[in-house]
Amino acid sequence: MRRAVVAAMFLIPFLFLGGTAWVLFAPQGEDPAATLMEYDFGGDFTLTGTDGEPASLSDHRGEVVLLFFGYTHCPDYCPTTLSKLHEVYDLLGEEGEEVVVLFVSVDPERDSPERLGAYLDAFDLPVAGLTGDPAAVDAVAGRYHAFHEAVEQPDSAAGYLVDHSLYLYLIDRRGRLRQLFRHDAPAGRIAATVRKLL
Amino acid sequence: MLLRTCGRAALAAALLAAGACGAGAAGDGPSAADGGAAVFAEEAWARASLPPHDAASAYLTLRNPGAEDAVLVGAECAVAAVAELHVMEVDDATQRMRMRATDAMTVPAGGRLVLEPGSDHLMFFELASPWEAGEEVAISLRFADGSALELGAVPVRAPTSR
Repeated sequence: MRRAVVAAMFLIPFLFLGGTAWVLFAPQGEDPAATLMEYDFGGDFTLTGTDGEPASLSDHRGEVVLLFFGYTHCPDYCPTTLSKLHEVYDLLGEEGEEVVVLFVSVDPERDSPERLGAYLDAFDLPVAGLTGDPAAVDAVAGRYHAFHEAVEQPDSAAGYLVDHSLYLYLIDRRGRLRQLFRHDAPAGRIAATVRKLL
Repeated sequence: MLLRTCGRAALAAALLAAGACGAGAAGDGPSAADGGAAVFAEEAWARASLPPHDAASAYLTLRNPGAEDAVLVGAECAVAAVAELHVMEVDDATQRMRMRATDAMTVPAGGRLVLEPGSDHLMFFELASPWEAGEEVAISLRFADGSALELGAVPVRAPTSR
């Protein structure tokens, strides 16, 4: 019994040191990837690119696409999402070369191709902006179950703001929707899931 | 050129105001301009505006060590004609984001109010000129009790900051 106590007294400091070393030097675990899914919604669409020419999801066959809906009068959430995507690209490194971001405007009446292009150019990202006829944008949003609604703001200089859903859609090389990320999904989880499609 | 011309006067005023009650120039120490709410700010920063530079946002944490709630009722900025308090809500089930201007935000007694990206924030419209990373802007916060908190030199960070 006494021997066991003495042994424990010797062992405890080593266990403590080992635990400390583990905490200090263990590899930082990357966020686990989300499961890839199959959905019965989503699909190809054509809107107008920032050059004023027709632009389709299918232009990006062979690439992995991260799609989201936003608008340029949104100076908070949309830059925050684009900033997170920056982090995703940093995590992907060279693998990110086969990944493209599509930003579909849910405010096509104010987001002309030129305005959208200038806004997105401020981010050092491979991002393609799409806008177009409001009815066409509505149809695309509907196919992705992306809610959006312009709400007049009598108390704000913004004129109107657009309530919209914040999902980030992961689309594989064949144009199929494979996962939806919530607005608070960490960049590491997004990068790890993208990697499963590369 | 860190501050726009019209911002310099505001900065000077802010420095005077801050100096008058012995607080730091950046407004990051206890600093109630006229002995009102003892609310102080930390980690204030603004996001660089994006083309066509018609709006910008700023973020900070307000701490209230006092025994009474402090109510933020407005903001002013020398380089923006309009400043608003915006609250953002996200519905968990639908991920629907809803952003609205509000006329009051409470900094609870003994607590804090966090304004951060993707959440509640200060929003500025009608900018005097683009807000560019590396610059500083002067922001003044107004409270319901009539006090003000002057943030003399809020750093402007790159659009991709979070």
